[in-house]
Amino acid sequence: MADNPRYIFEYIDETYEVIEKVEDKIRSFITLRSKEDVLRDAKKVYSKLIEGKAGRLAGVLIAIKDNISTKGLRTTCASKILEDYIPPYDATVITKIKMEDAIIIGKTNMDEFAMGSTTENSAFFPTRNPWDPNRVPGGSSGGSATAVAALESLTALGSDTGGSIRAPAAFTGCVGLKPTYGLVSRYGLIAYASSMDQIGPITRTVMDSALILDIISGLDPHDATSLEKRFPKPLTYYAEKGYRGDVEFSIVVLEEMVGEGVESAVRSSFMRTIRKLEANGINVEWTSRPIIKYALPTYYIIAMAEASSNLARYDGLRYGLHESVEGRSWYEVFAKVRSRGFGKEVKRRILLGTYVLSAGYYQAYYVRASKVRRLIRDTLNLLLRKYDFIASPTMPVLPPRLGERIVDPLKLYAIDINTVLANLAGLPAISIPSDVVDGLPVGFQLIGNELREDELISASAFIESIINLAPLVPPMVRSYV
Amino acid sequence: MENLKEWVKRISRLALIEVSEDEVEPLLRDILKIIDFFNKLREVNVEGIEPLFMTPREKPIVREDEVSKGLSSEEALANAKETVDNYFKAPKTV
Repeated sequence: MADNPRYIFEYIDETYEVIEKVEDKIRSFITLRSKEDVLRDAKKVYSKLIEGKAGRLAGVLIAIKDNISTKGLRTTCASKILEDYIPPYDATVITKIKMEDAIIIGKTNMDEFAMGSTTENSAFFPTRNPWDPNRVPGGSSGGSATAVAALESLTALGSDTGGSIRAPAAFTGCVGLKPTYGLVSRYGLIAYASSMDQIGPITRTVMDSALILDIISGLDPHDATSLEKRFPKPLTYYAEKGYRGDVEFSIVVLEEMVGEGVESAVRSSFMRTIRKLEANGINVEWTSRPIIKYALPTYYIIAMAEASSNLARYDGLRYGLHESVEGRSWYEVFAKVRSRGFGKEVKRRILLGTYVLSAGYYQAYYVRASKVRRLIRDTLNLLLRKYDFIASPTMPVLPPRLGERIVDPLKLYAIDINTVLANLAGLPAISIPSDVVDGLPVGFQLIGNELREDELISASAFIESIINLAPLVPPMVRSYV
Repeated sequence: MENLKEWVKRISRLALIEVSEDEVEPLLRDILKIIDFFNKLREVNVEGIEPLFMTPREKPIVREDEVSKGLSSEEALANAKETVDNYFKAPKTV
């Protein structure tokens, strides 16, 4: 781009041509910016490129999950309760990518308030998987992943509370990285479960994820839980190191993460990847930690408890869906606006969250789950002292058909089995495309040590290079590029 | 069953979410199934374990208690549907 600044306009033209052809079929975007608006931003970037003053994301189009606040650009959380909400400020991650001259192309579809793993829980419409439009793209950051997979955007931001970046990355053949809790500021991210929410990149390569994470990470005075990054070099350096093969690491596989509930096609694919790693000199050991079996209920109790508290703010007075207040009781106004505004799954989670926090049940559910959370975190950290990474299939199944999982909440929750661990423990985790089975992408997950994204990125780049699937383009899109 | 229905209504009042008569039964079915799934945690021995509410920070971020510029009242009110003299209009609470 720096050598040929004019290419930025060509690239935007090409991108809108792809969008024209595929967007109707997959529906990645809740709000797509007009080409004119994007070109106006591009002109500014073009001038900066000519002057040699452009940022590291000059010429990059980026899709943003619709729970990340963008000043002046509608942010709905895929909920009726925020359908017309226009944030008066930018999230910290948005300020950071704008400083590097990225251009936002649109706001992407998701499960309402990030509650779901398929993007079917959007209040507006489901997003479809570009690899097979009869199948879900994963969620909750489904639109961010499909935008990248279908070449509607070069890169995207998602958020991950129990797998919401990694699940759609795995189902669409993208790289998705959930950083260490606190590495990326949550300021401006509309809260779901605050002790686990993290923003992270969804990209086509490990290198792109490294670059985005370099830019969005670091201490932020607006988020008291944010952390300083202490990597000696930019994360892109560690990606290059991995691509060169300049890595040494060990992997452990937990039986519980490839056992019950994992489809046989996914298991065999995972085993093929493990054998490739071993053939490339990586030491892989197997072990078992039964406490892992309790991660799923632990996660859901905590997530729902935090959600019921976080979503108490929606009362229709300051923003969003509204009920007239004149002459009505506060209970009537608030209960009415919330009942109209929230979808079925959101209501279910708020009710259950209210229950597990209510007098008489708080100890039995929320506190007990928080104790199990500690046991799980200690177990994982102990393993990660001995091995560099815990590996597993990201998702236990191939992308399900629309409607297949959503009918039964427990069947829907079950596919988060391998992703929730990293959120409970605050650890970084990545999903790398590792295979295409029956025309559907499969993801390989690595969980690493806290604040060791440098190591995680090196190992992931190495794995990406030996698996060598890139560039992964869904058949639907291949005919257009 | 009637007791359980009453219980769902009590929770929904706490959560400020209305549940209509015909929604109660399917909702109750799902909720009971999910609570059953939560009850699996009873199998875990947690005696003497301190709860972990969030992953620990080395040191909390503190800042000087200084006045800083926030949103203007126009910006803050821009998304409100009912306002009175630069304030949000709210229902009577007492």
